[in-house]
Amino acid sequence: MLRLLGAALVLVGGWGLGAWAVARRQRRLQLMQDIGSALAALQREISCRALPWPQACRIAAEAAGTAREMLLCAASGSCERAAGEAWRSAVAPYIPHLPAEAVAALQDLAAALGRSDLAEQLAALTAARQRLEAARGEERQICLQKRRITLHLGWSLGLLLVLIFW
Amino acid sequence: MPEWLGQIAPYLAAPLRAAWLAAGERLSDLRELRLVLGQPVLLRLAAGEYLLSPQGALLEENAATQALCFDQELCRTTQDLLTQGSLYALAEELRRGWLTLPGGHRVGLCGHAVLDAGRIATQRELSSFNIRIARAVPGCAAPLLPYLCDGGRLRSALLISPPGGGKTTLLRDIAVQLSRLRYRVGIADERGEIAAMQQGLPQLPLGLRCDVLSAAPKAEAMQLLLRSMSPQVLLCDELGTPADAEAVADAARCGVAVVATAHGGDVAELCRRPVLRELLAAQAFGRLVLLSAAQPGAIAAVYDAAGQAVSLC
Repeated sequence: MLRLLGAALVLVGGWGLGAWAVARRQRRLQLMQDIGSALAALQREISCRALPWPQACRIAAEAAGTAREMLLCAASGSCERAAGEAWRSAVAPYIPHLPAEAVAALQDLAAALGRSDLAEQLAALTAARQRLEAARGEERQICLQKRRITLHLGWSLGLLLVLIFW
Repeated sequence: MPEWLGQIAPYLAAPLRAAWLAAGERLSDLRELRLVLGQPVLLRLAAGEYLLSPQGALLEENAATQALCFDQELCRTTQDLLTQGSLYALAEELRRGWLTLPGGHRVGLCGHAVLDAGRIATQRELSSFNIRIARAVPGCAAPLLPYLCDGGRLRSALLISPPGGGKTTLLRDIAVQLSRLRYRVGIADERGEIAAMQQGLPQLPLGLRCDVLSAAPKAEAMQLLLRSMSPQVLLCDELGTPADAEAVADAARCGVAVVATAHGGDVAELCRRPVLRELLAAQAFGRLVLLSAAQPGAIAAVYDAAGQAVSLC
């Protein structure tokens, strides 16, 4: 009986591991979507109202979902140091949760902050959004492709362990 | 430590901020902080000009090698902090060449001009920053009031001095004093230096009866104040354009006194500027107040509209 219970637990654990891996990818997608929305909001606030960067960041943060902290951190940081530097610091905690191309897009945006006129600033935001969107597209493809495999791998691993130790 | 020291500190790059705060009380009579790319940090105090060391000491000019150098990195970071990383939002400020910090401190900006149809459209690659300290000197206008409120009648006046002569500080205190004397005061604060409005509140003390229209061109602001706030006296800084002269004449026609300022060493110098020459010829100002070149804010002489020296009995 105990052996059966243990086997069931290992199977469920394996399935859970697969589900966790899938959810992680979904969260990454959601984060990329939220950052994209935040960049769009920033672009809107800058082009329509020419709001200063910290203020625009604070407003964009309201609709930024999981990227809210990033925007708030960029806003408060740019009152104490260079805007580009503050943006890099704000992005840093998110680096482990984003694919390399998305990280590069966000870090490259830092170079344009603080020293650009309106047209350049908007162009830099557009470029960052496009790169982020492209990275998100790739990530979504990978996610779709690997979703089933990851789930199956999870419970298969559990099953394998059960068979080995039975 | 003076309050303005803390108001300006957040806008300076870290090494400069540290030196600034370390200098503390030694800067109590500071007039200007001049930052020029590639040059030592220069302080213009009432007692003379000094360089700032990284430790906050004041150095003579011959000790330039020990002074804090305003290098590329300091320049970029200071620009970022002054503009809050929002150069794009400051097109107008860059075009006119200055911006105002909370507290009314004016930052002159100088770099590479970008022209549009032969006129300055904006600036890039800022390389010089001149931070002028705004401070209230309560009561500094008291000696002038008897000349302005002569026989119960409020006279228009023009305050004359070279740049940095204390005109704006005096003008601000005139607003306070006249308000206390129950005059309704309208202030056309184009550069934001008189009242330093932030979110509708003046950062420098003003009187109970002062209405401030900030950031608008002086002439337009004076006309709006005349139409909407029924002032008894209008205050504005640095007259210079024909439109300003027309607004002063309009105010006079409405029976409203104007107290304004103008750059100049003396009355003869003003007469070389066509707009001011016309105003003086029309006797638009009942009092011409010449400020002392040696002691900012101190009155050197007061003339009537005909150019005769006025002395109080």
